Amino acid sequence: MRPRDARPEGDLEGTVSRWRLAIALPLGGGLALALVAAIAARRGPSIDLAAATAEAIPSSGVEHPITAVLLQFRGYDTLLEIAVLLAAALVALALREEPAAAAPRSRAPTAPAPAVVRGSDEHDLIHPGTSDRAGARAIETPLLATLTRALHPALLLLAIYLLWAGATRPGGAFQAGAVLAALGVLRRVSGVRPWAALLDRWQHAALLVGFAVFLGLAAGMLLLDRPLLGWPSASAGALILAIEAALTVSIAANLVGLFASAPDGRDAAAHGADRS
Amino acid sequence: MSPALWYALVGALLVAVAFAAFAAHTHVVRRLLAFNVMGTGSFLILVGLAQHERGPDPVPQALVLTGIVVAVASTALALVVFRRWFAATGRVALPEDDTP
Repeated sequence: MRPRDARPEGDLEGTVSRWRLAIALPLGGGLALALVAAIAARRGPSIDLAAATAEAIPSSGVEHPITAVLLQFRGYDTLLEIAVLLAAALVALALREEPAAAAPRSRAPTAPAPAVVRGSDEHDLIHPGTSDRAGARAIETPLLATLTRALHPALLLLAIYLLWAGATRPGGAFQAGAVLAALGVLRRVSGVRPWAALLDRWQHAALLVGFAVFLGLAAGMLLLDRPLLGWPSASAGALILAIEAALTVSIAANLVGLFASAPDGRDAAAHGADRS
Repeated sequence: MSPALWYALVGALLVAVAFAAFAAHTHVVRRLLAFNVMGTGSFLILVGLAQHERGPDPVPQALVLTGIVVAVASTALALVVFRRWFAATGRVALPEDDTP
């Protein structure tokens, strides 16, 4: 009798044992009651943060309050956030399997029927022949390829607009970076990758640039006898735009790096089937 | 009841449901999903409570924006680690949870 969790498909039906359910349901119910009670019994805030923020906006260098909070009033959060993103992407890249190790299917020489069936389903859509440098498989359909080509200029323009708009209205580095990351995922999935060699060469620089520029400028303020992250009001707008531009590139690169460094799914499935 | 308070209450419910799901399931991806729903619930509480009675407050909104980015990054990292774990062992649960 094989262990329940060694199925190649995974335990997707989600069989839950009775005793786990017997513990989980009271825990969840109790937590719900406690949270609702806490919300009902809360006390009002002692400071009006919204008013304090609105007062300080004119000196922040940007007009949109959320951008001002992210990069001016609570810049420390954002600095640590891009550090977390960088750390996550670095760990993911370190865990990435070498293309040579991930590519051969010979590790599961006698893959049983379920894995073969699953694999042949994927063969219809996914051709290993279109793999790029990192050994990823691309989905080859004319629609996706054309769409990806057509979306390149549109998404680039949208990202630049969002970055620029962040100063005065909803937008900013994170939204722009997410759009660029979506473009990166599309490129990866479709296999349509213009300027791939150039972008691959600069991948590590792109991962780092956001944190480096942000930390460099924040610490540079110390040399000017100002507090960490204490932008001078005269040049705050320009500094924030420069940091946000660097953050946009890094956020996109980090998210795409995380997406791209997951091990090959079919290889894992075959290996799992091999054990069962 | 203002809509903002309603958001906070829905957030509390999401946290509780996700917590129960997290405790009930052993599949790591299901746990990751539960963890994400729990995070979303806490974001709703944070923004909803802050907006209740006072209107939009940019500080919690910025905190939640930061939290969303960190949540996306940690989810992606967890998926990379899980897939690596599955590729290495063929298991979808952690050893401590192996006994059914």
